[in-house]
Amino acid sequence: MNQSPIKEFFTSCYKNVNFMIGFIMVLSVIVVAIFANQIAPYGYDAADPTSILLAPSGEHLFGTDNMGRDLFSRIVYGTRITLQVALIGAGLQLVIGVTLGLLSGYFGGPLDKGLTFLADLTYCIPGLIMALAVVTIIGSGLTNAIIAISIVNWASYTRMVRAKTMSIRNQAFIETGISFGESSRSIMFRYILPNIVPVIIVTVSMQLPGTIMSTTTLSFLGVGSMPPSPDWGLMVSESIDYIARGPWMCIFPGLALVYTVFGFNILGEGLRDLLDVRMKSQ
Amino acid sequence: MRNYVLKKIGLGIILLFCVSFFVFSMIYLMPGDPVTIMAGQLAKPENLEALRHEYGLDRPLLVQYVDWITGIMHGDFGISYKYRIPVWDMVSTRIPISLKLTVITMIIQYAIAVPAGLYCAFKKDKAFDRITVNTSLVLTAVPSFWLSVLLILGFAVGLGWFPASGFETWKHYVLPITAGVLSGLASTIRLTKSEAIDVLNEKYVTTAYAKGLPERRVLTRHVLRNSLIVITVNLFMSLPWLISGYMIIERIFGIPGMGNLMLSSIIQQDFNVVQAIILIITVLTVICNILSDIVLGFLDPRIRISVTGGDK
Repeated sequence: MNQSPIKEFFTSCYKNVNFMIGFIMVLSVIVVAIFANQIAPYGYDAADPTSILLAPSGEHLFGTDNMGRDLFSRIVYGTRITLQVALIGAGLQLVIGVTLGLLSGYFGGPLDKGLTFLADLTYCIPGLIMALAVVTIIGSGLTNAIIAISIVNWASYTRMVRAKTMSIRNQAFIETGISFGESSRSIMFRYILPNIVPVIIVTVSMQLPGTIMSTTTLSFLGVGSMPPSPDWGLMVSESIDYIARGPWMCIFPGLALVYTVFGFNILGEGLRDLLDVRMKSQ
Repeated sequence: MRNYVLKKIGLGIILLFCVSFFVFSMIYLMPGDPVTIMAGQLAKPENLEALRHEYGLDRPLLVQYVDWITGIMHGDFGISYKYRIPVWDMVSTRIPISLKLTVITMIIQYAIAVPAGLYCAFKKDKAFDRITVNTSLVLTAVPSFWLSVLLILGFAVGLGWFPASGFETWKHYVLPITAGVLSGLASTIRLTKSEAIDVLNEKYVTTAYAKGLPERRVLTRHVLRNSLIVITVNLFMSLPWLISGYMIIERIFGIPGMGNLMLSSIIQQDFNVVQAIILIITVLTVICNILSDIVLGFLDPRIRISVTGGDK
């Protein structure tokens, strides 16, 4: 029973079914994204006019689309876009949300009041509406769609980080740090931040599926990725016109999306149990 | 109680003001000049100036804002840049369609999700709960746009039972409403379940059991009543969110609701209309939020006290 804490943590990871399944699913997406060049038999925009809307077969595993592009290859390359969305989206939200949350929780006072009000303000506007408004202002495109979603989502990070910061900022070790003459910045980022890492990890994993889903939705609505990008949302929207002749065009990109989002979802659930962060999922 | 209500209403008014100003200033943050969009790229500069003057776009920002907000109080949302007809005329015909869809969806969703969620909470970790939890986990991973397309594929193209688009007969409504219900079902079940579990863990439930009340009585009298109130308030106040979520479904099924109008206005850069719709939905959201806070504060003194710090 005298295991090291790290080993113990890995043992409990291993035992957590949700975490393991989610981890394997997400890992498989990452592997596919890294080796997309090796896995995909065709390029993602290699159109072949002689093989339009072919049903799934040995040669084209998921069939071909209205331009004769191999769907399997497009979906394989699409993993890159999805992971890009996940990485940039989570990164942006983290930087904005955590910084503001730390500032708000540590300093309190009018700054905290102002930031909380701003967070309340973003909660007042339905996410999709706000994202569309932002995209209308800054223009369409995948990067802009990710920015829009991050502007919509930062508040939940801020809330979480703020609450945690407030709960530990009166503890003795912070006081010690202050009496050693540490600057506020150092207190926030070197004393408080390491202590709230578990909360941040759980918040990221809970927000990631939503971030991927909303960005894909924006692509579907035509304000995210632009053709010929193999974005799964865009692929589903392109499939609608050919739904009777090539149902595979809409089925496979959607399945890939559900697989990825589901993987991230249960990975998040597993992480929440593992890190034992008490949070009520709204 | 009075302090609580006043505080909530006061905060709500400030929020409304900020939101409306944000929505108003959107048009100035947007790329492109509304006048150029109206007149086209080839218009002469002096004509542009005249048009700008006609729409009052050459006045200071704050003056325009006050003008705009006074107009809206009188039901005047301005003139569409694209179609040159009053925005309100375009929007007002769409509102009933969106409302009808969302209200029906909400009722069906409530009728399915609440009993299911309550049952899951009472019989936690039994077979039904496990199946429901796992199904809803998968369901939350399914984006509503794909769900709608799949429904069209299965029931419109494949089986031919229902039409894929339009809104003339009841048959047109079946698929969109199914999509709407399914896409919100998982979260509603989860909300109901967590709410009911919270109530089950309350001390008064333990007391009721300790008094020797039969299980059925505890569940109906103590648990059901207390959790239902919160759930109902929460659900019905989420109407604006539902309307915005319906945007995608309206788009796919070709229903001329508010969401569809907003999307096509974004594409056509008819910013006046976009602005009006965003304003309507956000104002609705703010009002619903305030109302639900007030109703919940009424029903649950603990919420009220946590906001006003204990003074009545």
